[in-house]
Amino acid sequence: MKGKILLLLLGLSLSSAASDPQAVLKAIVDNQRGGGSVRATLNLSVARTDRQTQYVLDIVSDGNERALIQVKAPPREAGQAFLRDGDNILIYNPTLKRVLRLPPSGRSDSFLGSDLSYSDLSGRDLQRDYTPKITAEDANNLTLELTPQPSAPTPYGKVTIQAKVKGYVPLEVTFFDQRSQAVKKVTFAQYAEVNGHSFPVQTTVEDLLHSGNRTTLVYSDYKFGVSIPSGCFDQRALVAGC
Amino acid sequence: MFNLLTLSWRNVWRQRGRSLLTAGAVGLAVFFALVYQGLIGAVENGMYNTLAQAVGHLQVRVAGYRDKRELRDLLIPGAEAVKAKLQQAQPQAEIVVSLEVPALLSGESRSRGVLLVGQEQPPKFAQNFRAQFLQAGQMPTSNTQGIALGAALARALQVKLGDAVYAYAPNTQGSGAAAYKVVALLHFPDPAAEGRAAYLSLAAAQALAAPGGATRLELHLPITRYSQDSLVSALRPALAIALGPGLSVETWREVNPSLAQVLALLQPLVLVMMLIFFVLAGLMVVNTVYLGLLERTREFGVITALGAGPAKVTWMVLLESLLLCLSGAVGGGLLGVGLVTILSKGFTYPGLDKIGGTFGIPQVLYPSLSVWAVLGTLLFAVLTGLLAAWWPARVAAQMEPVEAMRFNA
Repeated sequence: MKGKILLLLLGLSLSSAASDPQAVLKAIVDNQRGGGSVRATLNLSVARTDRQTQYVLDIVSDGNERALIQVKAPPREAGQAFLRDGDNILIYNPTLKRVLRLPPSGRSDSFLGSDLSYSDLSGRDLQRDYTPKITAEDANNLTLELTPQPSAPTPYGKVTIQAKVKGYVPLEVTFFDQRSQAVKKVTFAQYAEVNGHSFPVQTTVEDLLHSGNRTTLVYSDYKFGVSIPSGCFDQRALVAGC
Repeated sequence: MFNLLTLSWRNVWRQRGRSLLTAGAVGLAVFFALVYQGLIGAVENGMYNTLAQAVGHLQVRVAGYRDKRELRDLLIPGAEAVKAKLQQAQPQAEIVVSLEVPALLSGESRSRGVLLVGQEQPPKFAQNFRAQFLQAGQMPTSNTQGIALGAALARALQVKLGDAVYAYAPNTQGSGAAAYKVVALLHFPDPAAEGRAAYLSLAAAQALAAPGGATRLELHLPITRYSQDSLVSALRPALAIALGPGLSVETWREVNPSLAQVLALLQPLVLVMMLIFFVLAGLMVVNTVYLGLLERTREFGVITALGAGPAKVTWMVLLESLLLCLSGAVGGGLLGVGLVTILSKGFTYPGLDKIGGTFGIPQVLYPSLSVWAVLGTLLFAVLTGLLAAWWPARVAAQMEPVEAMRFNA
């Protein structure tokens, strides 16, 4: 009898977590970010109808609001570095030998000519700037609809996330403009189990307004949960690395 | 006919005060209509020239440029060859070559996203640009790393003349980043334009983002009047064929449709205002002619009894009205043409730069009138005279002589 009551309580508790959209969104973003600090190499492939550009980036992130990204290849772009610390995004350019501050209005600009914006690089903007609502759920998958908060610095009018119910593994994120037209789709694949999270090793970003524009990110040499000194997220690290 | 004209002229001035007042009203309508047309024409031509100077009468870009985001997709293939073709097709036209580069522009502590414009202009255009917009310093030349900033943008970046600014233009084919010295500050009537204006020499912009590249070629034709604009639309298809596929040729209207709409509204506005002026004047003419008819009812009875038919009576009343309107129209016309002639040397009034700047209205206006505008206005006055007198003339023509002679006002 006691066992039955415990099972019932456990069932009730799980169902209440599952119906809390904020908790579901946090779980999805935790999976997407690998659940904590990370050092990794990122192969960024930017495809256009007439050309393709490959970048190799080194990434160091605390899994939350701070990340350092250094461009290692191609040689023409190598040496550039990007630091995100909360709302601040700093850019180091080796030609200028200077650190430039990206204004808030530039956060939605394209990162290295890809289909990613500077805001997409790290952080928890989806959690911070949007109000989630579960709009569909079956035995396997669920759909979250995210509405921007009134003061959120986002160009999007709506975001939908599809995830597996089991473990809240992210499958697909679609961004809509203010007229509810889908403009960008992000799909996740090749999951790695790290620290109890299903981390998508491959991410594909597709520009839905420009057919053939696609950016693929593949993580390699990733180490999660490593200790990262706070010096990795200051301006010296932008120039000298971490 | 001569007798009728003399008789009508004498009748018009029987009530001198009332007739003077009515002729004055018609004259005022003609005066306002002419001055209004002169001013609207000045605004129209001023806006047209400002717009054409800013974007060219015709503009060549990559086809579908509005849907393209990346600089390399916006570059005109073989820009130099395209420029040569344009020059060959229109030898009398001036061509401005521009390269627009989206970039992050940073001062020591602040930065802004801007569209850096590298431009190669004929000397006359460069001189006009300096005269209109240069607030301080010298415009950058092709052999210096200088940059001209809108004064508002310079304030936002917290930089002044002589300071360094840094441009970052990633994913381009040039150096992608460069430092420039602020050599000029620009003032634009539109504060938004001033807040984002950043001009380099074409060579400096090409070195930054696209060696030998251009995103826009402007064709400036030797046209200064809006009424000549049909030439621009007529030229466009031939140029598009000459340049071949892959490039778009747009008129200034397509480049700036909102201001083109404002311009298109001006002429209908003139017609509406003229109608209002002349309807008001026409009501006064009706009043004067009808009062004159009432006062002279017995006289009309005598004229009819002596053998004047309805047509002759109608014509006499119409002629009186026409003479009344024309005497006012000639006076008002002379005053209107005189004032427009004085103002045609150029005039301005306080605040015109702030009010009109957004719509491309120049600070100094030069009103002018065509012969057709003057003749058209006089025709309006004649029509007003005829329409206003039509009903009183019909009443006069239908009078029975006996009843008319017994009439007591």
